[in-house]
Amino acid sequence: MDNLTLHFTLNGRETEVAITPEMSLLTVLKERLYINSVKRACVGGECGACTVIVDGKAMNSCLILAVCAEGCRVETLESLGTPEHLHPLQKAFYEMGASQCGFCTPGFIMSAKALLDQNPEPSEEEIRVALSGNLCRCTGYVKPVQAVQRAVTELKTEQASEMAVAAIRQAAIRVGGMTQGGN
Amino acid sequence: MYEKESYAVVGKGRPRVDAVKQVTGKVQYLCDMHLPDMLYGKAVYSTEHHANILRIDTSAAEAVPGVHAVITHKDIPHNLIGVTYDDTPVLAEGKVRYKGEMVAAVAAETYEIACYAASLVKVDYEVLPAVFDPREAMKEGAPILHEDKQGEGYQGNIHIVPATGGLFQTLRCGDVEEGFAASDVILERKFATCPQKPLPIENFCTLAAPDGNDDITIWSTQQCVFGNAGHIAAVLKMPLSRVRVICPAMGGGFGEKNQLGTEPVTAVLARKVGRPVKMELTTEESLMFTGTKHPMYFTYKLGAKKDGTLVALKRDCITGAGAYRSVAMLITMKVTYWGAGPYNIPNQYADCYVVATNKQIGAAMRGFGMAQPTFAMEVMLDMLAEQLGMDPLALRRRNMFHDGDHMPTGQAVRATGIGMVLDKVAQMSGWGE
Repeated sequence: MDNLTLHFTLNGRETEVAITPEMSLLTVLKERLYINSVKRACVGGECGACTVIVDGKAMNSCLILAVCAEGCRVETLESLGTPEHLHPLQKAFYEMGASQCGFCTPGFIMSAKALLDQNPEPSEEEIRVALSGNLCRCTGYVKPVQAVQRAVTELKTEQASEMAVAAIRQAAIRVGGMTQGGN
Repeated sequence: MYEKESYAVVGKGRPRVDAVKQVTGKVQYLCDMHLPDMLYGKAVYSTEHHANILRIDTSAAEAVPGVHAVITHKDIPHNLIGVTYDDTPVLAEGKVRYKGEMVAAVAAETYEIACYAASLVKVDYEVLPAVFDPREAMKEGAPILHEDKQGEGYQGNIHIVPATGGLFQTLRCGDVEEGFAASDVILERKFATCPQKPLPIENFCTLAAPDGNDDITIWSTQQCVFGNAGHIAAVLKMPLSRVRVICPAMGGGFGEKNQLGTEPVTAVLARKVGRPVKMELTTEESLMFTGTKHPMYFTYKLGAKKDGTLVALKRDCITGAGAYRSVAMLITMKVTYWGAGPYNIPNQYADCYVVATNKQIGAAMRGFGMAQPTFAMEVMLDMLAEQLGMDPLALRRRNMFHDGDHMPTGQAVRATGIGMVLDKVAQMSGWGE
């Protein structure tokens, strides 16, 4: 029955999987590749629980035919941090209590990730627009929005310190070069 | 006494114990569970609100390659179950009483095959008149849902109260007529609440796995695993010791998942084929098959003195139970006893009915019968305050419970929080500023 082979990049890894033409990307991720974080719920593009990033854009995987993902880069929540090293978005959702039952959380984080990749300093309104395709039935939307705002601040600090480290490294190389040159 | 500083946890921000797993996508919900050899279940739902079932033809569905079982009520070892009264069939038998009731079910190699086979199950109906409003259902000449249980669980469409054999649950305290005679102001109003849908994002889902030792393990979106294990065992006619029910992680329940959902039918399918079977509802199926908050129709008559002191309250309630009883009697019991709110009212009288309608079964949801009468009572108090020209907050403070006061049932109240709640709400909302 599996008469097609789908080739795509899943979380940075080249992936090949046997599929049938009617399968959605959601079905392939859940029933063929057993991706845990992606959630199946409304299967009609209403709730956003199955949100993944396809070539940089947040999309409902239930609404994409799997064949359309041929050659695409697909990212799921598994591509972000680990429990030991959380991504700033994950850390903020954790610390702010922005998840309750947790079922909608992977979708929220992926929508926010796609936003921040495009726009590192979004306004509150831009955050709300980016999350508008994700439904939550437990906590509401105040905490997820606050969590994204906190992640924005954290990412900026992280970036600033990375830039400082890079500058120090550059300076060290220059000094090292001069020392070596001196020898 | 209630200072935040004296607590180790209260008032402090604490992350959820499972939040790290949640934000990294590692929590396993039912939709993330797979077992080797697993089949997919799909139910056939009633397309009619109220109808006699003339014939169920499963032959075309059974002939589909990849189909392992098609079941109807005949395959259910014990078909009628219920929380307080056994009137709810696992699969409809003889009649359907709401649109969305399960009539048959299929287990197949893939979800797509199961859907296709379910669409081939042919059910012939003789459509009957239906009734949706419990007030209409109480009237003479209304279509009767449970004609086979008259005098046992129902009189007409009205549920018989098991404890008394009467048609309504009652509350009597003091003398309301004397109370109204002594009142300066009497206010009478009607209220109706709607059949709200809990609809968690995660749909109902069950994975049932029989094993070689004649045990069965059932993973399910189930808030009440221990309570419902007994009902599932009864359906399967198995000893409770051989039935294990597990809820791995729940994607929201809000009370609705207290009820049995996909468990009995999935377990019967799995036993029949001797393989694990998973049945995951779609959101559309959840909307028609699973429960709603009970709609209620109230009449409230409230008497008070000029200074706002409440004297008498007479009320009645008609609860729309939907097609089967489930928790409707328990919900309505709470309405009967506690529907007057946290206020001292010396004279009280209440009659509360539970009535069957051709709608999906009423469910527990957020407050278990407290939201509906609280809405009615609090609106009554606002209206009374307006009529008396009194501050609504002062009206509530005048009548609210204090420790040691008695509820109309005679129960003494302790640790009453209403005063503190009112203070906090007034402060947070800038009341009176």
